[in-house]
Amino acid sequence: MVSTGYPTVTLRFVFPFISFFLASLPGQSQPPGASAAHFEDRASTAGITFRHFSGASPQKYLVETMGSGAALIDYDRDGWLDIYFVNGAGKPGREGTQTTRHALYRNLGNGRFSDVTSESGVGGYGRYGTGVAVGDIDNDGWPDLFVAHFGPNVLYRNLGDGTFSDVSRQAGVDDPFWGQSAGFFDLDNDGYLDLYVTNYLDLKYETHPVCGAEAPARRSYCDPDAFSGVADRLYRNRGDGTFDDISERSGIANPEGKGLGVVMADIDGDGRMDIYVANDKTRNFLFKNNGDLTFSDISYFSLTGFNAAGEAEAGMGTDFGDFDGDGLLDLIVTNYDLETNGLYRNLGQETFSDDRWVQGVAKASIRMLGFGTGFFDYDNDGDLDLFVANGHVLDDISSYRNNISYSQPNQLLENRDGRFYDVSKDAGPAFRTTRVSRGTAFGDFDNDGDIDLVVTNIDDSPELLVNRSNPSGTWLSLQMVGKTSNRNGIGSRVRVVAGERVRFDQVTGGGSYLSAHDLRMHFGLDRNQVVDLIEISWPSGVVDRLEQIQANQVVVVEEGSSSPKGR
Amino acid sequence: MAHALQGYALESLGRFSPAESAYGRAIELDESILLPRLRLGVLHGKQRRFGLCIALLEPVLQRIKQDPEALFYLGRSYLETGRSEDGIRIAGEIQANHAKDGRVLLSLASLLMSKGYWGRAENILRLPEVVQADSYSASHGLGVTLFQLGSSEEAVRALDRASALNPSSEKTRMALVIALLKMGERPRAEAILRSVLTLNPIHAHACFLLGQLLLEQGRHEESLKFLRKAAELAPEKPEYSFELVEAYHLKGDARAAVDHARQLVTRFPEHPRSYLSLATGLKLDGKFDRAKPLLEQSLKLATGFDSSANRDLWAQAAFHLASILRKEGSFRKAIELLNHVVTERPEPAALLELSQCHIQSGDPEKALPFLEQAMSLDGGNPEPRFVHATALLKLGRIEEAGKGFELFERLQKARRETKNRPVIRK
Repeated sequence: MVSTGYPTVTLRFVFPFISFFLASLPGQSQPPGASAAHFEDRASTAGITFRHFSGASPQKYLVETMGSGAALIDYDRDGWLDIYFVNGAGKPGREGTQTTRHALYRNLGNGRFSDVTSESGVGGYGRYGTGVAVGDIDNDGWPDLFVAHFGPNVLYRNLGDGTFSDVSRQAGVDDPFWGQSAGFFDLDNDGYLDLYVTNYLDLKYETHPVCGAEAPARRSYCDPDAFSGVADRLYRNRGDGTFDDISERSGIANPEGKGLGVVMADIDGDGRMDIYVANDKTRNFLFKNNGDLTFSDISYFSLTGFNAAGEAEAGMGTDFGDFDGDGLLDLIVTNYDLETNGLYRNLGQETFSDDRWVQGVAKASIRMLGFGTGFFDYDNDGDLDLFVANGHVLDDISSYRNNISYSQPNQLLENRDGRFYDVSKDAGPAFRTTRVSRGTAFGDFDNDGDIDLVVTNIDDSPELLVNRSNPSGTWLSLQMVGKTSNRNGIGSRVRVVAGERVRFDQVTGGGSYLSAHDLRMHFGLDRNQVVDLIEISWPSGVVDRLEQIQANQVVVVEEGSSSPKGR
Repeated sequence: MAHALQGYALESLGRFSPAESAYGRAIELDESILLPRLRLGVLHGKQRRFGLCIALLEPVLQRIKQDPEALFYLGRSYLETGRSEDGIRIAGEIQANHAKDGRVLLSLASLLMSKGYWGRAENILRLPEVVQADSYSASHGLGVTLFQLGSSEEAVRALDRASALNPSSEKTRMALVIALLKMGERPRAEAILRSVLTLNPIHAHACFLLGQLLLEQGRHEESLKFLRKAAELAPEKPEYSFELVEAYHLKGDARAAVDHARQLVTRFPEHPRSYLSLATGLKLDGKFDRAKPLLEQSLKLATGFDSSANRDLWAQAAFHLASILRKEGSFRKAIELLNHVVTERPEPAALLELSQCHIQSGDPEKALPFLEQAMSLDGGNPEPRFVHATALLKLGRIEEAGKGFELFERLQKARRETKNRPVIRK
């Protein structure tokens, strides 16, 4: 019996060309040179004492292994990104469950954070939290928080005085299912942020199947195929503090989906934000925005629903980014080990090409199970690199797969001329240790001009990966202030011209896994000291053009003003 | 005559060499005496000196027809030297002249079986005289013969009879296992293999077959135990070690598979499968740069021998190498390799790989015929249907692509419904 991936039969055969062929095989690919990457985990020195609690039980409820996320949110508008950590909980009634809480840490601006959970009112005591989204739902300038749960979801309105108010019920977004990633975006460009929430599985403690063996010590986490999916939710913001559930009539409600990750962006340049959903072991969805409050699932025709072989993979996290600089947003999806992560290159006209192997993403991810992910320019050299947070879902995986472990190292993939190289081993000790990582939020929380990372880990402390890379480039950060458009400028398309380099990006909604990012746009400028042109196309249709902007600063851009305010 | 009698006496004592000398001297003195010629011919036949046997016995065929032993060795010598017609003629003479001698007929049947004359052997083994002479051997022989003739059920019945007559026979139990496996009766085959190993715990082939059987059922841990033992008991048999590597692969233990395959490269450096096994493990681990030269070596070795097994290994190595080349973006080289593979071996996996190369190199039109071939070979597989629809989409044939995706979805749904729900994701 030979099953080396190819069936065996006896056949008549000739070998007419072998010598020629062997003589003309291509050589080995060039290994990447030295990397400037360096990240330091400053969680403990920054005063972060939060530790995730999964509620892991002998019953192995699947929710325990899917993790919780984190959000970067400047909740007090002092210019420094604060951090919100979502926590798990135990099964209701289990000892210790009521003491678990989410945590909000205020950034003191000096490298330290202060726990302000109690006074802010966002602790969500005893609730099993999963994903988080940040957006200014009422355009009052204060970012609000949406927290997805295994159970009713929660919307916290930022009151502007350091406290939040739970407005879930009156807003109508307290869907009771197992929510995962969520994201704010303006689906109809009416200036109010709408909300997309992925729902994962129809799981109940009472009817949870036993997987593995009956003996408690030999149970294992179930495959998602053991559960039915639950349709995602799409809420349209009415602008009066309430939301309208338009899931069914918009066409996004598909119970076949087992949603884990979501990201929104305008993939075809029609000025309307589309939605991509990473589903676990079922087809991923790409919902094209039709402009009339309905969406069409174009996952088949866009070739983003499956891998190139037509296999539905275990989609976890996802993000859009223009990694090849052609002005079109490409797509990353993290998957299960041996599946490899998917990199879908946008070819225009709503079609994508699964280029994971050619671009080096697949090779780096064969043995990894990826969750949080995102495109970001870690070294400000003007192209988008990739980060992937890894960790298996089975805590007993090493008992039957010797070469795959529950805790895994995270990865930094550097973009060199459009091809990704794994530079993790050069990126500091944090990339050499292994943890069971899940969520990842991207943002410059120390305001030093490069993107830092917050990574959440199952039953462990989070990591605050401060970017200490040797920067090869200058940078520019844009803080969007919508007037007619939504206050956060989500959906804005930005073109930056600096010297020879032209960069294109969008303020996307959602992205990564269970996490929310710095809403400021960050551009690495290579070595350019001046940006020749910034062109911003707001969701409202307003276009602002800014010229001759100095590099290395955060620029606040108000919609329609075309006169930036440096900060 | 004195020499002839001397030779006969020596032969009776088991002193064959001096007996042959005595018979030789007797023939030199008087060629017309039959006894020394007949006995010397038989001794040559026994010693596999088939040419000498024929030279002595052929001229006196008419005179030896009543001697079944001489006829047997003459017939065997004919068959062994490629004179099949003469051999079969002699077999007929034995059957005609010694129809009542069950033991002679049993020996003849055994000879015919060894040469692949299964139909003739079956006729003989069914004769009552044969069954009377040695019912166990007759049943065992009939079972093996029927299996070779494709009658597995009848073979099992005959082998069951044989096993009942001689419960301690490992050979019969092993033959029974083979027949049961052919019929898909795995539980019984497994039980018998375990009984063989109870009788003889160091039966290497029983360990090997049991390991294979368990591997097919996904019982990786148990399988590894027996395959490891088989490889230890018969380290000279590469197929046992190759199967062990395969078991490590299927268990998902790439590290052990690679470690073991590395040893095989040292132990069996001339065997193409050594390199293929190691390369497959490295490829699964994403170590393409290290897998490629091993696959090239496997290709070279498999090219050197014109056997079907090596052609099979060549195709596997070429397939894996092409798949790496495609992933690296070397589409032209991958297409060259796969064109040769699918010309001789048009199987869905190779056809799909070739199609993907054409699509990814920007030539979806060329992928279409290969995809159509793959779909015709494996109509229930959704994968070629999806890739076909992808190719049509890239060619702008939107409506056809849409229909293809619909069919893909239906096939996928059907597959999901027939598949058991996994309880643990591995």
